[in-house]
Amino acid sequence: MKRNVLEIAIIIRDWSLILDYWPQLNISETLFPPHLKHFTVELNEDLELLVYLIDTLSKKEYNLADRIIPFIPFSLLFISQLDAIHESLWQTYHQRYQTPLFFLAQDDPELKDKIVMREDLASKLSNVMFFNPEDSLTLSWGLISKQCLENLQYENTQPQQMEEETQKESSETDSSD
Amino acid sequence: MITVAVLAKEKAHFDLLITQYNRLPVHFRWFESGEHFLEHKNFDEWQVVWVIGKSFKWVEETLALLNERQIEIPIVCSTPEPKQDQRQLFWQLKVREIIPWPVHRQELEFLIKSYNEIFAPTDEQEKYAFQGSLEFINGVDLLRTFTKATSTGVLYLHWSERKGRIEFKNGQIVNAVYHQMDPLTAVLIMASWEHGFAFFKEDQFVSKRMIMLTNEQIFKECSDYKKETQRLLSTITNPNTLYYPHPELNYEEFGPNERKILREMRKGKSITMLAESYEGDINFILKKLKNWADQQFILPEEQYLQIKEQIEEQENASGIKRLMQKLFGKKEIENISEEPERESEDKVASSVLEYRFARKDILQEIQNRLEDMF
Repeated sequence: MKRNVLEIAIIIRDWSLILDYWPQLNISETLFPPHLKHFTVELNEDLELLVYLIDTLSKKEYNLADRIIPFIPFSLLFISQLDAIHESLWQTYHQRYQTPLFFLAQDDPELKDKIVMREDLASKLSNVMFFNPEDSLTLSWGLISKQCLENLQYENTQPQQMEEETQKESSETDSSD
Repeated sequence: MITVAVLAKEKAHFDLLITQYNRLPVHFRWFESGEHFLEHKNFDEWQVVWVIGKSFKWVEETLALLNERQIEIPIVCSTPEPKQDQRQLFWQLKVREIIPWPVHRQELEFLIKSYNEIFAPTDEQEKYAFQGSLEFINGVDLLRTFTKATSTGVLYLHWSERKGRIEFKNGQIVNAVYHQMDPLTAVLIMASWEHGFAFFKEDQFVSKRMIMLTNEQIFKECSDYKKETQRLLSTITNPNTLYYPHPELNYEEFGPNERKILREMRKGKSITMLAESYEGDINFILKKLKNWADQQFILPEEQYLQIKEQIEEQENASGIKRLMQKLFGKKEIENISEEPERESEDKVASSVLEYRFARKDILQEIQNRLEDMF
């Protein structure tokens, strides 16, 4: 059977934060350029997840992201605490890339409340992928990927549906005339 | 040792003798006029009387006065370029020798050396009570040693062509002679020397007190002078890089001394080199150089080469090209100013990186598998 690899990137302030949630991760640096930190999660015998860690504190790594982000289906912005830095990171990301971006955060009611309270982020709540650190590595990363892909599908299909609907409406009006 | 009474209206003439010819076993003593000289009745101590004056009339009057008293000491007289009738008059006034006052220091040296029977040099070692190099001792410390010893005499300081002397009376600095400087400035300059050598001659015949400051006040002035030199050097950016005069500098706007310095700079000289080679007041020349650098009369090497290249380019361009440059120069400038704006717009447009992931079929497959799994 064909083995599929899903390549994604996590934009994170200090890469070692991720070890607070998944200490068992085997993080290494890619052998070939652009020499980024990465880890893999085997979801299934024929499905693997390859996650690049892009540390915003390391200017060198942040610049190397240009060679990865345009060629992957989506990226994740890791949120441990909600502050102005995330907002500016989110903005700079969209100024630089067209690749879709989701938020990744721990399933924490306080954090959820904070997001809802923030007017600018409340509309993006659907784009926040919550994970439970108590879940197994495979389960949590499998669910994150699944959620992201569903959202991605939704984003892709939504404009098409809208176009179709408008076309339908216009044809109806034409026939009535 | 012979002693010579120098009757000179201008003290500069006497200073020239004592600074340039202090190696000779001759003691020169200055008298401002014939009357002053005649006040000292003990004429036996003088071997020669030397009357020096720019004005022919003053020399004539002085010689007449000496004649009246019928002094038997041989008299030598000097004026610049004495004419035939003037010479005859001097001979009539019983002058032993007429030495036309030289224009140059070198001429004077040659002249004095030619009077071998009077000014024959003796062994140097015997003459000095103290001798040493200025490289190992600070000028001020050297002066302090003589003030503590309450010595009377003359400290000679030589640094290649620079020659000066500082006179002590019972340990007090009373006078200093260096070029045409006033006595205090002469002390300040000589005390700042870090090269050359010094030697001390004990001598009872020293000038009357010309510096009215106490020794401690003089030393304070010396340290202030050095501090000012350091401060001025620190205000000049890159004092060790080579500086050149501006290629389009109008030398006629400068005085002869300034022109000399600027001409020396044509081959490139650093500020520190210039300050070291300057024989006069070092702080004065540093202020001047700083001012020149600020006004771009002198330029650091890199800037100088750029300007020189531009000028050469303009000179080599044909007449038509120069005319075209004049006519269209403005338009070119306008075009240049527009270009960067366009570039920056392009940059903004190109800074957004396109989404290049195209394998949507694979994503679909992965999604299906994930749905099966979870």
